[in-house]
Amino acid sequence: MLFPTIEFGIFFIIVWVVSFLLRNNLYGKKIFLTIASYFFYGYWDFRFCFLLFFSSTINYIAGLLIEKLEKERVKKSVLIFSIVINLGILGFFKYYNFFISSFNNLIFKLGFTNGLPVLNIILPVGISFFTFQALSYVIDVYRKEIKASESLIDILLYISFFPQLVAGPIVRAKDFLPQLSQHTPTSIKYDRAFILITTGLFKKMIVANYLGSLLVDKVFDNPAEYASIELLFAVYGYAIQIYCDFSAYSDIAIGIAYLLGYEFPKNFNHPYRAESLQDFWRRWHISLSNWLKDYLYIPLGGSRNGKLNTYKNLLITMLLGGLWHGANWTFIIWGVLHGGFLAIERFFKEKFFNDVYHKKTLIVRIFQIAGIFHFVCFCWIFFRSNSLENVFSYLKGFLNFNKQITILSPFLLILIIGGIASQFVPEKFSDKVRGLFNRLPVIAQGIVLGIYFLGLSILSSEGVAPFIYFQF
Amino acid sequence: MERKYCYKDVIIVIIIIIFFTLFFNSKGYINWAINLKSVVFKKIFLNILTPVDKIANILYLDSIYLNLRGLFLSLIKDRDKDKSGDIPLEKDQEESEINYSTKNPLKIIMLGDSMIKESISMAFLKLTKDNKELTTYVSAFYSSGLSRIDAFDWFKQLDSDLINKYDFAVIMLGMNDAQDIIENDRRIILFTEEWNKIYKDRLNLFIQKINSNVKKIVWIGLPFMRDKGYNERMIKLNNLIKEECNKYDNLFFLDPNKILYNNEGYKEYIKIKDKFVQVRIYDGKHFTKDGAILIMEELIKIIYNSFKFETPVNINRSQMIDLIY
Repeated sequence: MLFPTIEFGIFFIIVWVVSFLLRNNLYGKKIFLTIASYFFYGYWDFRFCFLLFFSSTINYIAGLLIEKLEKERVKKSVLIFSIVINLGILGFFKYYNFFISSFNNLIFKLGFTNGLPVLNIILPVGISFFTFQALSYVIDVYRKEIKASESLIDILLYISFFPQLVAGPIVRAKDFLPQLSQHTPTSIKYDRAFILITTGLFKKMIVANYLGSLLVDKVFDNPAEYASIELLFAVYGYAIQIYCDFSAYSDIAIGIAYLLGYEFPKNFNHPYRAESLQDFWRRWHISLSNWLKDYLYIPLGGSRNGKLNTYKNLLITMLLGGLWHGANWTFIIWGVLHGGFLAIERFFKEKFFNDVYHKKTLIVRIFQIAGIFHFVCFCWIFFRSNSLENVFSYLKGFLNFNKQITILSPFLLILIIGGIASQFVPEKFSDKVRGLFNRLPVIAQGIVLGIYFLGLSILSSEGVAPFIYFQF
Repeated sequence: MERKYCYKDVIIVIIIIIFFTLFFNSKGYINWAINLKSVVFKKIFLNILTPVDKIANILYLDSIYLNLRGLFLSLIKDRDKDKSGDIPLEKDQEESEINYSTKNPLKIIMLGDSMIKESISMAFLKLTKDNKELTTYVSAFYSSGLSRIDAFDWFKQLDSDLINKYDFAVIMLGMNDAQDIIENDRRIILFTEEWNKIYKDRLNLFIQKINSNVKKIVWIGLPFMRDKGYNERMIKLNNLIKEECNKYDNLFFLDPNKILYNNEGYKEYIKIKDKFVQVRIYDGKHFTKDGAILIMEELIKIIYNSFKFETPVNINRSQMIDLIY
């Protein structure tokens, strides 16, 4: 069930009305939202629900054991056991075929004729997201940052809560579980919710879908057929497409959570106006960046054990961050490129620019922003391509100077330029729009939103493309 | 300062939004309801939406919506079709007598849905980009098929596509067709006797229209699908299409399941020359570029075996496989 569909609209209205009726029955509301979340997930494939339940239950029990047991060594064993189970599930569904086919290809080259079996595994939607949420819960309990939840329903709801279940943001237990014991507020942040939902739908249904179907998919599928300028704009187009697609999902998820009386953390903050790659990762997929920092980079040693170890930790963190996105060498190289550049950037910053870093002129800042944007775009070529061969043929395609421009249209240019320009809109603008909206009477607000939704439906592309991050 | 909203406010806003979207886009909602899998839900929603649609018709609300949408889509029209070029109008070619060459190329038309648009035509054009003795025109439309000609009328489309004469047609249709047919405001349930008859009639009409314009047709069958229920429907439909195709001497039914899977069932990866190759994309429906190339290899063999060319062309499997890696 995708957000911008009639099915989801009906589902959400039912969920919202029932949760409103249950607003004074805290436990009843939690049970209902859990059932609704499992229904939402089972809509893809009901078998996935068993996996979600199994993962939640294991982490619930692990959390309780870690808190109740006294010996540190035993606590650690329980933590390791739960991490192994979580990563085992993720590894089996997501990486089994990748590693087996890579291994088989290697042994065939060595002359063996029989390889290990490749299984027909269906990747459960959102498995990477809910596994990371589950891991954050047990690790936080072990670190004593939160108390283990006594309520199984709280953990079931935390891991399965439908707005963020399949594509984030990755919500921490310490941010979400306390909200479950608070009564639903009598007033709702509906203005914030609707602004997030409407901008999210615009980004997904108009910008991302058109850029994907009219430009990016075609050029990336067959780079040799298109002119070099089209290849360049297809990369810019993909940068905007993936931002609009993914941030749209986060915006809609946060908006839906607001309507149900919960708050999720912000997941994007104008990433393409970053002045350094480190800054980019503070603005792009913030919940994943924070997760990787807290549960991978810092446990690896972070920046505590000297410069070389810091660079190594950055590289490892980003490599695994790349692998988290999918079982493909293209993602691994994407992660290595980011990790490597982060390390180089840190080296230069510490060595040469430590003092001048905060005294930049506008020109320097513009160059930095453009430079980082182009580096990120270059890395997107790896991220978007299906294989390394595709990457090479794409890069080779930049030399197609003699080809005529065939698909780049003014409409696509408007989407790309508008998408880049939107990164520089001041944050106060959104508050101003909200202020204006709030001044309208409720019926006028309804009419404005009704016309807006109608406009979206008129302008949207045919069919509903799945969100890009569903595959991760 | 934050304005406080109560639940009643939100309910009012949601009702107004539903009113706008429902009345202006009633046809879109009806189409959605028709495509529902559950017969019960389909009936419930159609009972609600049909009177809404009637009111929207009387007030011309749906035509406002459709006109605005049509205007916008025409402004951003996909330029792909223009790219395929104009095929000169020629008449009365005699199949066996003609030696096709770069000066007199074999004219191919590819017709179909997203399968043709997204993978098959792209793979074919890639494989034959240096074969100047072939010219290809692609007419493919997302979500199109023969069940819902009220949504997209392939017969009208053929009238404009077949203004020019072609030598060879490649068709792949059906993945959007496992749904009820609406005829004369009546819903005919999928795979009932009546549905089968109507669908067969449309298939035959479709083939005959093309047949009068080309010398040979290849119909690419439907591949196995990942989703179990969808796969079962596709297998049924594939058998029906195959049965009708077999009635035509100059029509060859190319079965992708035989080529990719040896009829063993859906797989995302297959083994070729000791390497694992991904042949289907993550949606479990469409082919990857490599999957499409493997099917196009067979198609190209058929082309070069069926028509005479001035310079004989050797098609060899290892060349094709090399393209994949």
